Amino acid sequence: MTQPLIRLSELKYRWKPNLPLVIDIKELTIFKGEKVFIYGPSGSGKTTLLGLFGGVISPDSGSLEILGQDMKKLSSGARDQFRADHIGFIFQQFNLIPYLNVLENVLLPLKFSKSKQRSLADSTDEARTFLSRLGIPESHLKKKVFELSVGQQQRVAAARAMIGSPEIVIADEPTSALDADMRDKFVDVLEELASSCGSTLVFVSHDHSLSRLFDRKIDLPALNQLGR
Amino acid sequence: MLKNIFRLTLKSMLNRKVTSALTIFSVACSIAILLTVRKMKDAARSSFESTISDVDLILGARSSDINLMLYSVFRIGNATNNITWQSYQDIASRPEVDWIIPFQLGDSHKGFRVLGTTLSYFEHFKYGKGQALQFSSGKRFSQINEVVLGSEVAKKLSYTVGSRIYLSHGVSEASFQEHKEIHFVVTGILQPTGTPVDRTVHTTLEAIEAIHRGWESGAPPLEAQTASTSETFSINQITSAMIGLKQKATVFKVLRYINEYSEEPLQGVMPGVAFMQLWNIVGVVETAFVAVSYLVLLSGLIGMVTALLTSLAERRREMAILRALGARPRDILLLLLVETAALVSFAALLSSLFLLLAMYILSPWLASEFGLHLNLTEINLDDVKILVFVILSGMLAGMIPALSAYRNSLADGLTIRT
Repeated sequence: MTQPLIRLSELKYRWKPNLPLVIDIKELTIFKGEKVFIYGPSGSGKTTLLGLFGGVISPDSGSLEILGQDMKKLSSGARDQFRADHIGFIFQQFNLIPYLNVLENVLLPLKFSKSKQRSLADSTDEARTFLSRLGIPESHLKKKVFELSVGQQQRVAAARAMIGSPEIVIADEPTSALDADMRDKFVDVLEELASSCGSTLVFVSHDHSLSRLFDRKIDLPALNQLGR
Repeated sequence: MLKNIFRLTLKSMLNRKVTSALTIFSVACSIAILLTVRKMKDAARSSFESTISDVDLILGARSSDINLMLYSVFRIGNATNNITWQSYQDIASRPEVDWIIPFQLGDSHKGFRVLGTTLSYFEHFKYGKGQALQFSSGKRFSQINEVVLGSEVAKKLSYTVGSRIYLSHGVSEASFQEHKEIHFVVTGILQPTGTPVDRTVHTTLEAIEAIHRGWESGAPPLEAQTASTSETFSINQITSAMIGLKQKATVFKVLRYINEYSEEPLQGVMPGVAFMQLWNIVGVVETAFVAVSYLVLLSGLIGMVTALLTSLAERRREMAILRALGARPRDILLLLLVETAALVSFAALLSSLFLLLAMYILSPWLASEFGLHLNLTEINLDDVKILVFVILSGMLAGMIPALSAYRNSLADGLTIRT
């Protein structure tokens, strides 16, 4: 049986004491190695949920365990380090640091995490392998990121999220800037890469049509019992 | 981690090189202004205080300390009155007096003051830190019609040893009344001193008496008289005198003797005291200059903070990405602090270069125009202190954008805002 990777119960969160709840989830477990699609239109609490997963914020009540670690017990600095060590992020667009080249961007997460750094015999080699598997030619490694197409930039971002093989990769609307036919392809390589790294993929999008590409689908508006 | 932050900061600054370079340049300019003003102030003060050295008392007719100082030491303004040769002799023969130099002022040559004195001047007059006068060419005057020129007089008027000149009555540059009684010959030219000596024409007391023969009414004599070098002229009066004592401790005794001298109203001044009184007046201007240069520095730093705050708006996304990769809010704070530290440090470095360059270009001009001899070829400990102060205050100013970035990154979390 696969072990739970993210487990939350009775999770509640509000930004300020006098504001309404934005997260109110009874139960959710994500298992190791899963490829999960979370359907999250705007206003469904998606941003807040990812903030909680990433350890940027801490739940008001209920429990949130990631990799068996009770997130409420960690200080904000420890949560930042936890994120650096165990989670990779891909965002919507313009994911990359403009003043670093392609290779430097991919290697950047290693600077924030000793554990990711340690796990690599030759980090540059791994970055090259990832990039070539994602279809970024060797000749692009030293290029400035804005010289790449949007699709290429997103693939570089994927390589950056996967480097050091974090346990969890969170992708927040990574395909919204891509053409329809590129979306499916991007999701395919993302899943393939996550599998080979042993990473669990949490893919959040408001685009229902992508859900067919995942083994598990979660409907956030249904799960998040706001006002009920 | 710090090494990574440094590397990120430098790369980020290179990515914004025009803005960064302009910021560095403007801060460097304001630091250079501060350093230069301080240098000039120090140089002005030291050149001011090194005008005379080893003089214990200045003697003159009764007026104010500052006035006596101004006309006898700086050749500014005029004596209110002369003192008689008899009084001078009485003071000179005091047992406490080691040496005395008589000064007779009031005439000029093409705008340069003429000083009538004795050979005692070359013997005892000291400037700077006890330096004696040196000749660059020629020798002391020995005859009544001989003059010794300060270096600047010789240079400006292209005189050499052997040149012949007339002296003029009064101190105005456009004096119409020339003393044609004696044709003077240049016998010596002094080395530059950076003091009013450079702008002085030195001659004998007798020569001053000679050219004024028949001028007792204050106007030229009706019948032009010529004086010959074989004549002897008795000295009736002088303007002031500089006194060196055998023992410094006797200064108040001699001062009291002078101030209580019954034959005529005399006044004695201790140079140190008068320098201080004068500097209290000049010092206000000096303080104003320094204050203004600190304001220039402040505006330079405000410019830097403005540029950084503006850049933060564009870099909000960058900060959110770094946060997602595991950067803590305090890493973001550090990123901005390192950037300001780098900016002001580069600026400090550049300003030192500016200063050296400016001094290299300006110091010959300052020396020749104002007699301001600046010891500027080096960056001294005080300058380093100022630079450290500037870097620290720059980093303090850098806390404004750094805290702003810190707060943004706490509020934004992983949300990318544009």
